Amino acid sequence: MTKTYSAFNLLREGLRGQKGWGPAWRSPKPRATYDVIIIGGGGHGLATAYYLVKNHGVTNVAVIEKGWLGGGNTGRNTTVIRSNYYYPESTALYDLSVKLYEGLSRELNYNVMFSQRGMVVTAHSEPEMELAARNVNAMRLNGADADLLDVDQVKKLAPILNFSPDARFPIHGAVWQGRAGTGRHDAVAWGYARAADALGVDIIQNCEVTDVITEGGRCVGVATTQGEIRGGAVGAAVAGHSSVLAKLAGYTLPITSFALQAFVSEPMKPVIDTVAFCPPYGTYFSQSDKGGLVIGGGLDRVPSYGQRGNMPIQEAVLGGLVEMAPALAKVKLLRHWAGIVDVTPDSSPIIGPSGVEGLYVNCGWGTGGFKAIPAGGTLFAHILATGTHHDISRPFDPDRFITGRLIDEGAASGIAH
Amino acid sequence: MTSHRVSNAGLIDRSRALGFTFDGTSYTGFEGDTLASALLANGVRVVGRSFKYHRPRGVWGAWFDDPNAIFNVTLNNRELPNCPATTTPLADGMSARSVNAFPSALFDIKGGLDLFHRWLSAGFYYKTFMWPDWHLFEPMIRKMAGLGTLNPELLDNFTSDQVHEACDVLVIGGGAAGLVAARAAAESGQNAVLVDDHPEMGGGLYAAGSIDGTAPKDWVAAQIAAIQTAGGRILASTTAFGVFDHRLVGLVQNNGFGAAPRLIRMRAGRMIMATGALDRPITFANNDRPGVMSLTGASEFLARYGVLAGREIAVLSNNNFAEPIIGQLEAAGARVLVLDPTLGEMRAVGRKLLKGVEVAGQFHAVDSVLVSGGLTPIVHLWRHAGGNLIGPTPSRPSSPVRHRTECSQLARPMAHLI
Ligand SMILES: Cc1cc2nc3c(=O)[nH]c(=O)nc-3n(C[C@H](O)[C@H](O)[C@H](O)COP(=O)(O)OP(=O)(O)OC[C@H]3O[C@@H](n4cnc5c(N)ncnc54)[C@H](O)[C@@H]3O)c2cc1C
Repeated sequence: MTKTYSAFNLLREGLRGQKGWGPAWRSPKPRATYDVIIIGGGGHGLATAYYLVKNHGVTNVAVIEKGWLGGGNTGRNTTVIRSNYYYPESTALYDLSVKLYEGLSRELNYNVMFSQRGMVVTAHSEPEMELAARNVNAMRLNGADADLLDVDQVKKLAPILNFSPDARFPIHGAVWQGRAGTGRHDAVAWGYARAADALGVDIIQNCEVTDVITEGGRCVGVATTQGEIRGGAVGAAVAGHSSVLAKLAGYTLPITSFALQAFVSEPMKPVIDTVAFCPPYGTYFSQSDKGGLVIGGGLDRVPSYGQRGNMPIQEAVLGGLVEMAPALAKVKLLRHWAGIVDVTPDSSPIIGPSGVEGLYVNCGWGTGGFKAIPAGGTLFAHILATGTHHDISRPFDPDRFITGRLIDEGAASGIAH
Repeated sequence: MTSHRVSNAGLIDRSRALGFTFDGTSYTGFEGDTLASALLANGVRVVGRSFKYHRPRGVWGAWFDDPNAIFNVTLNNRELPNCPATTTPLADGMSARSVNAFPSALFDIKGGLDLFHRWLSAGFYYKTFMWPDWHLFEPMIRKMAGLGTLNPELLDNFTSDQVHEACDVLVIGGGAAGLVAARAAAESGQNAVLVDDHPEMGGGLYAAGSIDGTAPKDWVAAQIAAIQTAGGRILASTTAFGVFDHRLVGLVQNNGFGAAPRLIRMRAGRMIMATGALDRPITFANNDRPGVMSLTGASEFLARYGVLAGREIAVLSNNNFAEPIIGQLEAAGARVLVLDPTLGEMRAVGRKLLKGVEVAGQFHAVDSVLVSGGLTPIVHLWRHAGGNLIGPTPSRPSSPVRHRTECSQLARPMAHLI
């Protein structure tokens, strides 16, 4: 069986009708017990399993997924990867992630197509330019790359944007992060799954966790649609359904769930070579390697689990898009969808103990957890293997909602929540 | 090139000729044609290239189910990317360019990529381009990908109104089922609205030959008159694109080429989905060659536009829906060879020009292969609204079951399933 992905093996397999490849991961029946059970086969769950083996030598691991791998938000996002946050705690987390992404394809032997074509976040008035300068300085002090661009530099990077003097919000300049970009989202889930499976992790799909089993106040396993599975430690990385799981286990999380919508256009020859975000329109877009525009915007206004989306937000986002780049008015959309995202009061994730002993959570990534998958997996694996925080995850413990040490990125870097 | 236009069939107006160009060559069509029907009438077979291997592609379906004939179209200095030729009404002076092909769909310099298909299998890019780094390969791949080209020029007045509307009953789909439903709703005193994405009502009826002993055209006109007399409204060239909470239906009305479409937010008391069905392909080697077409697509081209898909036709069908269509093709002057797709391995022979089809080792020389793998109901809106499906079973595709909200799906096309 051909296992390693390489140009040489592709060449060889091409000659023999691609018949030598084995499946990228097995589909095992769940065993009765594991050292660690991870609920949720999205990017965070799969990365956690991979790093549990790789960094901590914990090999008896199961990932339990109710649907198919990456069928949650990992396969629904707009694939932006960046670390342009404000607080040092955030930069430490997100920049670790960008760094891990930079070597990920080779590490996993799976091309996740991390494409560092940079990101511009435009500023539309002189006061906004002041804020942009403050962000650039903060990012640099925290060790991430950032530049302040004037309007001509923005024009060079993304000529399709609206530089007309009649624009609703004329562009004055931008924050530029050159190491930012996009990745192939499904490939991130598949790459981690394949690598984790090769290290012995059992990935169990079509298996929903229906209850959390506790004995003497301690979580000892889960009830699933494929039977009971016991575990030494249990980690939940279920993104938009964290409160649903919390209810089963009897803890609460400071989380509100919203639908977040996204769009893909018909494929076109290249029109933009970076990620562009114009905050006043609440819209951002990039172009995929296949040629489709990938368009995103803000959250729905009311909490919901309805993944079909709604018209008012569609119109706000698409209206913003054509104001942002008027030539795009001619472009037709191919697809539109929503994913459910869990938003915390300070727009930062929650990593740490759930409140039920033996059960840990990785959640609250809101609209921005795709970029954090390698870091989230690294940090969550650390907690599950050792029972203690990694230095970088410590500030994101849910105890911050008791101590008041919030990391309010919504207010600080103005991320779209 | 031979003309494939059949005299006196179709809804086109033969007194109004329209000139247009495709990949630089001039052609003539008629008022009522689409870009695709006019090209087929002129004997143009190669209309595009496949996304990855640049294989020559022909027209497959007659409406939005066609994935191949996609053009950059210019009219009165307005250029729009990626226009599906099968849903773009022909206008005088249109100029169409195939996308993803250079210099033309017929002679594409990247056509040779097909030779490497054994190495470019599905998902090959996940397995390579990692050394030294993806960034080395990505720019070239980005340039090769994508279909049409976006002309960055801004269009003046490319805006349209957005309106809020309401009705008691919204019927989506103006075929026989939808027309009857809209008429019944309107005549019972309800505020009824009927929408269809075609410029004219009638759906698949034109291919039916006759209904209630009347010609489809006359029957449709009678239904429209009855609906309007009873106070019902009809919106043509209007696509329902989504069913949202509280029965809000998104409608987009085509305002003609180069004009921005109108957005209608329709609040419907109830919805009736009479959205019809699509032909399924049958899989066999080279079934993407120009000249291999869906059987119902060919039947629509004949009925609506008076265009005969070919002169020497092989029909590969696994259902009894094919019979009347075969009769129509023969009546229009084609020689039809009916082949049993269950006999054994099949393969289309020919590259840009179809030479024939091989079934179970036997070669049949034909210029067109029409295939029908059975009809699949169009249930996208039904599912978007949260409706469920039962099936599929080996002999039936999935079909809609009762809905929890105020939607019903009419199942007329289901009567014709195998
Ligand atoms: C439209 C949209 C655009 C976005 N854009 C970006 C972006 O540009 N950049 C960015 O960084 N982030 C973005 N995000 C956010 C990002 O997608 C998520 O934060 C990230 O994918 C979360 O990964 P995850 O592994 O935690 O969750 P998921 O990928 O959702 O995985 C959770 C999994 O848990 C499973 N599950 C849930 N309940 C159970 C149960 N009881 N039993 C078993 N399995 C269960 C689900 O089926 C799911 O597969 C976007 C999100 C959306 C919706």
